[in-house]
Amino acid sequence: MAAATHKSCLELHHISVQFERQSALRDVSLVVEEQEIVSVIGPNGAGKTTLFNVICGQLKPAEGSVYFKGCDITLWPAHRICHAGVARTFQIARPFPEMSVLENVLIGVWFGKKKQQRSLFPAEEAKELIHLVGLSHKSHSAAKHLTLSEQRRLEVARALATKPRLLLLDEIAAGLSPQAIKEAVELVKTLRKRGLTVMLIDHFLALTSKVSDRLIALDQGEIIVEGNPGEVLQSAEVVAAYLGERQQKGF
Amino acid sequence: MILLQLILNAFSLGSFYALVALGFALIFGVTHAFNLAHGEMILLSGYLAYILGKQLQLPFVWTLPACMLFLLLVAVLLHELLGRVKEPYELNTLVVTFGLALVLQNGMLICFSADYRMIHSSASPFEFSTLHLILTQTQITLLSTSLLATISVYILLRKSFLGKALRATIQDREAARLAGINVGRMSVIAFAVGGVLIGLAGPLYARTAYLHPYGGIEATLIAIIITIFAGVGRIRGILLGGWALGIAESLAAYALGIGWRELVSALLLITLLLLRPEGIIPRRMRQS
Amino acid sequence: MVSKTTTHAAVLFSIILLFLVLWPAVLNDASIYYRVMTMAFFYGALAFTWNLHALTGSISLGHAAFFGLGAYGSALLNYYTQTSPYVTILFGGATGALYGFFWNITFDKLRGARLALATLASVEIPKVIIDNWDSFTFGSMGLVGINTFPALRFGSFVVAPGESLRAQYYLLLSFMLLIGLLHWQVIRSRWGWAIRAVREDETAASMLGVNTTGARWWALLLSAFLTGLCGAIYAHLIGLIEPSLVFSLHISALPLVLTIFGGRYQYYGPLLGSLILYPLDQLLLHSLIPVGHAIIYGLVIIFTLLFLPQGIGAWLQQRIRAV
Repeated sequence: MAAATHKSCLELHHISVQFERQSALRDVSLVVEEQEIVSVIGPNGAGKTTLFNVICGQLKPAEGSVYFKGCDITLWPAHRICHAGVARTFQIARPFPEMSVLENVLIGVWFGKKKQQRSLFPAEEAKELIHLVGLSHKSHSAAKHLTLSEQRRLEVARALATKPRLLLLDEIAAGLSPQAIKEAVELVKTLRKRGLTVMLIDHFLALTSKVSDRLIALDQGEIIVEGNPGEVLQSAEVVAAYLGERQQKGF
Repeated sequence: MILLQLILNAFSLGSFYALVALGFALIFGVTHAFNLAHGEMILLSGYLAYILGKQLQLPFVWTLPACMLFLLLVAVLLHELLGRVKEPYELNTLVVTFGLALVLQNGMLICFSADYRMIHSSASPFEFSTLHLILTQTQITLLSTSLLATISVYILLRKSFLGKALRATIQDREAARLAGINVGRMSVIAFAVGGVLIGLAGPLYARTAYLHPYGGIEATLIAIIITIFAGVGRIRGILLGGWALGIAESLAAYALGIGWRELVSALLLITLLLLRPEGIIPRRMRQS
Repeated sequence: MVSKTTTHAAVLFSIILLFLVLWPAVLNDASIYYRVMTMAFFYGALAFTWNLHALTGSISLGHAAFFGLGAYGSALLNYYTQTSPYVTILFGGATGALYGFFWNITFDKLRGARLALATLASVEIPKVIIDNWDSFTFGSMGLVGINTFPALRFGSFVVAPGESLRAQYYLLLSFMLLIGLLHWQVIRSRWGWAIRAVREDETAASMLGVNTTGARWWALLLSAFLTGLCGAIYAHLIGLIEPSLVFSLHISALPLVLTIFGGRYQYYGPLLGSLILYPLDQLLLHSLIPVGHAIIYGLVIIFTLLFLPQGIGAWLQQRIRAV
């Protein structure tokens, strides 16, 4: 059994995912260290969200394994992976529509950890997180009545309620005003200070380059380039991928 | 030979099954509305044909267009009713039409009572004594009408412009809408054509089996089984599915006896639901 | 802080309860009242048990399977071993739960309309088997002369459910209240919140650490057990059962209609539905339309789903709040 060597936060080994005879992910391997902020970029359909789905346990890969803090979590059910410390937000926000903001976050607090590690003051924790994302004034509003950006913030609070060590943020900047994006950047930096490791998917390259330590570029289910933001964004492969031209490997 | 007779019966029955399924498959394919009252609507058409034949002395041939027209109207009305249904559409239409099935069942119970009724054929059957085969007039009508209807629908879907639009909507509603197809109108047309097919099936049903208010669920189940088996938009698959089911049921009835027939249908349905859990996926995958 | 609507609801409930308890004493000949309301309580309990599964967001059209299995399980055990009905009904519940376990395993991946269809079809399996297994179950002839509940003695006070309409009335009222209480507690519990999260968004729930499979499975198991229990009670109260009766679509449909009308996902929904609709049907419509009066249930489903999707309870609440 090949276990992870040193205590990285997340490791993917040769992950492959198939959808109806199409490869959504092909032999993807990557490592994310503790308290790193890594962004995954790539054109539409590159497999970014699929990658997140595999890490969180929503999707089981056809091949390969996922290691979280040295543990093989590949076949674990999603809720168990959450208990271990992985949380995520969704590309299109999906809060529990009929529940209030407070109730949404409480679900995260109540169920995010196993019984032994459960919080003694769930309501207080929930309120603190709601305050962190700036939704205190809407604590008792039903989630379905929130604006899109408010729903996104709710998702972040809810994900944080599960006390994750690794947070996967899927397109938090989409549709936000420049001011809101600035706030999002600050939030992500605060998260690292709280000890979290963060993985981002975002099309808004200005955001990702500002906040990430490293960029991983995906195209057609494969990693084409990874490195620091400057290198990656200027690399020929990434430019070509975004322009839609097909590149041959070993260019 | 018994085998030949069985095969003949199975084919005539199977072709009828295909006709029963056709209306359901078209409506579901285009609109994703699950019409659990499908069988009851067929019964309604059958009862209408019975009344027309009995009270108005209408020859059987003329009851067919009358029933087709009537059920066309009923189906379009149903489409209007289902327009108010909220998400999740499939499940909610299923429950609403479940209620409709109850309404129709009891309505027919009130109007026609629980007596068994049937439209009897006066024509004598054809006998092929050398092959020990009996072919009734009804079976000929059944076989020919079902095949005619299936071929007509096939031609409609494959060769006409409207058919192309319908097929596009079946494959991918959103893409069809973006391509400029009026999907709302497609839905009405689907219900209308479905209604015509249901209307056609009714009188035929009344000729082969006894009409009884509680008999609808069987027809609905058959329609659903064949639709799932065939996959959406595959007319040939429906005909094949109809024949396969006809053969399977005839065999089961012969080997196990009548009492086990519903169990066979139920197990078939469950198996199909499990094998194709997404239910009914267009064969051609949408390229994302 | 207890909200105003909760105190309103509590007061309303107490009034209704008081009425139900005391009204028979006022009536001269309470037998019709007893008969109708006893069954209303019974179907109310059945609606609660159905809703326990519906809380997960699933619609089952096949709860008659559990009901019938419970009825036959209890009746047959009692017939062959002469064990007291008070014990065999528990066995009936267990039989239902066993089939519920089968549903869990087989239908685990199905959702929505496909699940509803599968549940509908699954009624045929026990129904046809029991119908044809004449030697053991008496097949389509049915089981007659089922032992009723023996009388219970509390000192000089005798409760005879088998003979006394009044005993049946109060016992079934208590039974319904008990099941209703259980139903209420499930909704309020942590498990209830897990179920609610599953219902509103199953994937998001699993991402937040909710054991969605566990929540769904246990909800169905409890629902199946209690539905089987109801079926068993039915068998011993009515005294005769046959497959077409206890596995009928009517048994699957009735709790569905009552609950959707009263309000799924509400703790009072099934109660509201059964206390309003069932007596309405039996007392008013049955006399007007002796055959086919069940048409009202179909009309109610259609009307409720199209115009009052949250059920009449939520609609009334909104009206009261607006005032």
